[in-house]
Amino acid sequence: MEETSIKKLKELTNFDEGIITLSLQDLQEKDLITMSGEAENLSIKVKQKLNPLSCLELPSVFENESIMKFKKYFDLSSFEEEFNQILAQVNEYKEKYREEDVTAEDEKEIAKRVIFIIKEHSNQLNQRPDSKLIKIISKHNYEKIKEFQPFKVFYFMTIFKDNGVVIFSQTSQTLYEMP
Amino acid sequence: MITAISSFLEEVLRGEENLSLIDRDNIKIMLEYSDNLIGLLFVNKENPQMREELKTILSKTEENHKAHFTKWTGEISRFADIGELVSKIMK
Repeated sequence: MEETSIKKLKELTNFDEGIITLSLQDLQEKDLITMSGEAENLSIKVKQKLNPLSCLELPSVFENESIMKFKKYFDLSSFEEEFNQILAQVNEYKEKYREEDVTAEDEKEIAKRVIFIIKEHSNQLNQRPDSKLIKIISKHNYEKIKEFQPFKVFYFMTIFKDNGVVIFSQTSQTLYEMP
Repeated sequence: MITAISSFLEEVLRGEENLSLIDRDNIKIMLEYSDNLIGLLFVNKENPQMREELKTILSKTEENHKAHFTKWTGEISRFADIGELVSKIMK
């Protein structure tokens, strides 16, 4: 740290020697400086530099209105709480629109696969197969497309083997759709 | 439809081999067999899971009515309980 003397301080401040001495004694009591030597040739050593800003009476920065608005974001628990609220909203949105999204994706996938089957069928027909083969190919591709239909049960029946009597039968609600 | 079913039944009962599927383009008839019964399911497409259900219905019916099949008088009302077994697949 820097060293100085009473003489230099008098030149620098133009203060009376008594005032300077009192101020220095105060600073020494606060352990900020050390003084050594005779009164006429006093040597002053600065132990701890003073922060000039600490002497200013500024209004607290943290009480500023703008800072107060953002203060809640500095608090981890508040931030976490707000973050969780956003996550909850995202989940709510996902839950709400899940069915529509899935359906849309499923429909796209089905459309893609149907187009593929149709193109495949077209390519097979372009190879000019005979009528018997056309029938087989068409049936095969038709069954592939039918795979996209929902499964439907139209009718159930149980027959007694010995005499061929129907012991039980039941129609379903989709019977009217039966070709 | 009744005529079609009747003629097809004759075909099934006359045949020596057990048919498992009759494919009439837009309609498939899945068949399963047990000791005393033949189960038929009219569907729009084949489904292995549904075939398993059909087998289960037949085996449970055999189990529940074993005594009835040996001395059956032709009364079909006693088989009404099959409806409960079928309700799972008939929606």
